[in-house]
Amino acid sequence: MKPVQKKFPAPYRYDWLKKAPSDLIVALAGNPNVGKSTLFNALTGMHQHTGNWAGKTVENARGKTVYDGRRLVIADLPGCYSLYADAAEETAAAEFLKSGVADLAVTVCDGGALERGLALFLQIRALCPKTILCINFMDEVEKQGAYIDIDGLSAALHAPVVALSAKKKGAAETLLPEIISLSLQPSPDAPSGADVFAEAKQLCASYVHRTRSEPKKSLLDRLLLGKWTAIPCMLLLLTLIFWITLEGANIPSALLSSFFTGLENDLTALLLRLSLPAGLISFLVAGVWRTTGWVVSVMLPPMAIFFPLFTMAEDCGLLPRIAFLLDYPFSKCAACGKQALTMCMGFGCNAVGVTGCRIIDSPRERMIAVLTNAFVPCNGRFPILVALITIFMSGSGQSGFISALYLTGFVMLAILLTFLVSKLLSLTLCKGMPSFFALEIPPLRVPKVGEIIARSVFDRILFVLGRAISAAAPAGALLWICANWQIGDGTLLSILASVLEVPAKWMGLDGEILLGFLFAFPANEIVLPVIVMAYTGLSSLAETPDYGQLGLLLLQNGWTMLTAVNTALFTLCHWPCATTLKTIYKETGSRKWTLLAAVLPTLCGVVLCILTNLFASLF
Amino acid sequence: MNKTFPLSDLRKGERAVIHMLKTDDSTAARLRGIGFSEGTEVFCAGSGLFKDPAAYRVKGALIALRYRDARGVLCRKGENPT
Repeated sequence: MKPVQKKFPAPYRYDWLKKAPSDLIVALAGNPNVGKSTLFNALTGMHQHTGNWAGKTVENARGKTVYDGRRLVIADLPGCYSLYADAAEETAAAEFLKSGVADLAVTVCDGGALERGLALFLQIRALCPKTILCINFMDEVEKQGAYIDIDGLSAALHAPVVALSAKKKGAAETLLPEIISLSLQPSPDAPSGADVFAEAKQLCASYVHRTRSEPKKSLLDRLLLGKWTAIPCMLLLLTLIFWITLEGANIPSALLSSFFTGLENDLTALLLRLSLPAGLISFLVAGVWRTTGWVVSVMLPPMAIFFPLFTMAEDCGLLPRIAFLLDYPFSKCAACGKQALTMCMGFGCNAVGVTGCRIIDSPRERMIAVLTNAFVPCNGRFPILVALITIFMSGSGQSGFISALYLTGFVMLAILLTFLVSKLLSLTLCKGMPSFFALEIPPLRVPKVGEIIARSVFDRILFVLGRAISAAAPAGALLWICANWQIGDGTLLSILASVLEVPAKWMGLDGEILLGFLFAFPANEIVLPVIVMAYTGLSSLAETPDYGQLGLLLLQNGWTMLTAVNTALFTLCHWPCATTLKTIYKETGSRKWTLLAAVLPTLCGVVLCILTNLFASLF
Repeated sequence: MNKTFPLSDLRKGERAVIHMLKTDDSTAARLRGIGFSEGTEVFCAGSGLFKDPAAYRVKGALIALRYRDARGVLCRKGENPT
């Protein structure tokens, strides 16, 4: 189950794909989880392009390779179980195949689930007569003691059959000669039966010989899916991923930070040589540059660690198991178990989580998942929580493990809130019946670590840099202006803080804290630095002091344990960051829902803070 | 005589053969596509933390179905002759 489905433009937009008449356009199709992407990546390497198209919310992935002097353009179609899954709307794969753009197709299927793959093969061949059947995971087939009569099957189908294990080196390349030779043959006269399922069943009965027994549940599966062990396993996994992300990010963050700070002097010198006024230089260096550098050094390392880890969990089959285990509580909230996965993505970045909601089929359930994604704290908010936990709750100098436990506790709270709000939405604004839900649980497989790390890190770096520049730079600019604009006794910043003081006090916070959250609208990473800046009266961001000094600064400004708790609660429940809201608008296409997405968590945060404040004042 | 019963009644470890899909067309198409087609043998692999959803093995794959959807899949006891 990929977080992002692929999409296809109208057929005529593919005209430009063929640079020469001898080029071939190959459609790569198959069920989900059959290793299509592995083959696609192996065949096209880095010569891929994943694009976004308006209309259907699915991305298109195509790549190219050259073999035997011919250029092959491979279109990686979205995985589907049937070309006609919805009576009303055909799948994107069906549309693409119907358009006739592809010269031939390769239907990939899992050797362990051949009957199902064959049914899809027959459907595909009806639309695209030149189709190759590619049977993947042959290594697993052998291990299970099954035997597939490849030649017999090929003869019965009147189509080439290639059996391979995509993960083995050079396996994908065995497809290429078959593709070329099929392209040179005339279009086969494939008889298409009416009932693909019966035909597939009959073919399997004749050409597949397997032992009758059920595969035994592996030890790992017994742990992951066992009644008593599932939840501890999941919690352990979650805590482990958090811990690796937070610990692993420390050194790279520090390195990046000193890199950016180091360049400040050079930048200042350069700008001085250009004879720019001192104020402008300060604005550009201490405002824009420093804030952008800050966001990049805090945001990049955790994301570059979290998302590869997440992709590995997805690749090895853990995510569908989690969706399986947690579907029940979600269905009670008239939502979908896949929301568990979008929430997990939200831990890395809420914007990515929102995009990931595309895996949820029902529009109503998708909306619930989108609206509640911001309740899950993203990587940008973790430093705030960790700082608060370390300073006020677990005590500095305590083991990182205790802090991790507190963090997990807050995360549990965020999850609880998500359920409550989802339920509320399902009863009010997103009313409707629970939809059809069928989830495939693939066998646990070893993920391709090297390839994942390479691709994921590369993608993440680009995303973060883009976000930093487009969000943090203007934030830095605005922040500098407010902090340096002298008005009367103070700066615009201090005036804003005192204006916010009144509502903040009701929530057990103070003006500076609210100010921090407001200025951090473009990027949650600057909440703490802005608060520090407001307290110290400095005219620009400074290095966040270590926890000891930070703690002193906060206490000096009237912080108590209650303030810390309320700040933590507001961290969990406030408006989504600018990138997330922009993504929500893009995904929903509606200003109304985007506004709701901003208001909903904020309202919860305000209410929670007021309640804790009231509750504490009773003592 | 073999009576039909809904898939949701199948217990862990039990087998049955799918006889008919008693759902709307759209759901039926999706069920067939993912593996629950007429005449297919189904094996109940049990559920996770709650009774719902349950995991079923069909055509070599393990698929989780919610109770309300499994209710629409009518089965008969008895093994496939092949």
